[in-house]
Amino acid sequence: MQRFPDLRGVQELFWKLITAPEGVARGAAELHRRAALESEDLSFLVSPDAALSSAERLDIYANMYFYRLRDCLAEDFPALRARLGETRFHNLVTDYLLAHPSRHFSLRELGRALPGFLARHALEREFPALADLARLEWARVDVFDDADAAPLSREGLLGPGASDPEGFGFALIPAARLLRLDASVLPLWKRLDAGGGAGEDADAAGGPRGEARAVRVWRKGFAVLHRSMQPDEERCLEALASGGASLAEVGGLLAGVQPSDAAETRIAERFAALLDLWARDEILQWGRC
Amino acid sequence: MVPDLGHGVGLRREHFDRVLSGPTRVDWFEVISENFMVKGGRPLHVLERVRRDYPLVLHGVSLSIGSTDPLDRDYLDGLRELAARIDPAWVSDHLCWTCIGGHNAHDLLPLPYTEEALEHVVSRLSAVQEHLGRRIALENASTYLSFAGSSMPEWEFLGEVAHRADCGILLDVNNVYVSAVNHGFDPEKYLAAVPAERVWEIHLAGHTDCGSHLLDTHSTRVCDEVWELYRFASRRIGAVASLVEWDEEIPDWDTLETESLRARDAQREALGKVE
Repeated sequence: MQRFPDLRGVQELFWKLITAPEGVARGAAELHRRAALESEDLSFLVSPDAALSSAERLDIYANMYFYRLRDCLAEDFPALRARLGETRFHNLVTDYLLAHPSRHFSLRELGRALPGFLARHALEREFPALADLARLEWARVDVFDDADAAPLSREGLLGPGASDPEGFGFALIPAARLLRLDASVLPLWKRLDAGGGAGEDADAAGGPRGEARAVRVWRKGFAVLHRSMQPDEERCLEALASGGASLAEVGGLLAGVQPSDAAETRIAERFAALLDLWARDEILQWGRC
Repeated sequence: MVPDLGHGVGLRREHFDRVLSGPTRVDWFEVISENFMVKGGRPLHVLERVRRDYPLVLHGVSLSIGSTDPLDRDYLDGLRELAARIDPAWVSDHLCWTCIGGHNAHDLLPLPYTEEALEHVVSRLSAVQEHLGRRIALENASTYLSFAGSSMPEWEFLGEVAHRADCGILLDVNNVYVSAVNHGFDPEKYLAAVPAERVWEIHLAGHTDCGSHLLDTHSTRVCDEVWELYRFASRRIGAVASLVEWDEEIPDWDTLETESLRARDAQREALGKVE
């Protein structure tokens, strides 16, 4: 009989067995085939008894491992799960965990690579924009407990900012993400989010699949929200996200993306409307300059 | 000497609003450390609000004290930072391993009870306590298998770890019962062997009978056998902080609070205290 391994050997073998995709017994058989085990019999490692064999006892841990992580991903990606249904979601998690076993101490990080993984997965061909749906859900997870900020009110934005438009800098709050998603994603998310809390995406009329739409996800107080953006708002927020900008710089950016024949008053009105919106959404803080 | 915090419950997000809304009849709360090792948002806000009114204990699941991987310094730094922010009554984790080869199982995996494992755990525990600047308590986890190479029973392993590393013990009575049924030992023998002076806290929880074994699910009320073991442990150890955990199929607040009050009454009964 194979000798009982040292502690490192126990843990490495345990991990291989409980993460074997088709269960512990088949995992042991595969390890034996590859000469990593002297025998498929695991009694040298785990004592069998009248109730359960060695492999069946290890299977308890294998099941707990998989279902705990599957449940975690289901909680972080409820719309993705609803879109795929239980069986496809289960199989996706199996594929994902094999490619991306958790490397972080916190389960919170488990789903970080899932949107990118989905973009290369066969399911993306069957369900177009699936990866974008996952990106939206992950952004919502990511801002939920991101760093707090002191968001600026309209008075805060226009007070010192207006009196010295080139001296005061603003930045996007940490708990905000700017995304480009397929136009079908926001209405799809809203439809799948059967539990309410559909975010502030009432303006998201959707669009033909394949057309990109700018979206921002952010936390207002403790509420996680998202909404689509026009290109001019996206341009301004990108600048505010990458190091911040002054009110004058934001105004300049806005003017730069308006039609060349746009009247100055029209640009000023749009600027004022965006400042109102950003203040209401509590998406800016002091920063830079 | 650690304080007897009385009777508490594990604080879960389902009860955040209720706990923040006014007084409760529990004495203290315990939280899962990793859930609050974040940058901001509601969890940390709630934790700080609750801390103003109650003692708190940080109970971790990712220390991986038995792993043969290097200690995760980022994790330890995060835990130390959270402890400095919250000022918990104490910090605890589990006698188990959770990661290997850089991969996290996010489960409390069992250790073989060997002299090699004992020395390994004691050595790491000393390093952890030094890094955190405090002694910690380790909890006995439920187990579902026995390693063929184990050379001592779990209670001896646990007691030796606590003695050699000078740490506390978080004695989970439900876990003792679950493991006793799964492995066929006498749970009272386990409780009688645990060094009473090192027990800082007792855990109570419900489990699920899967037929061939019991599973530590924290999904139901504490069963009668575990209440009886709790009384046995209380008679032997005396009054120590006790906590009811409920993590699956989480009930309404009143049900959870009632379970905690039942623990208070059971301990008083065991210690011969009459109101």
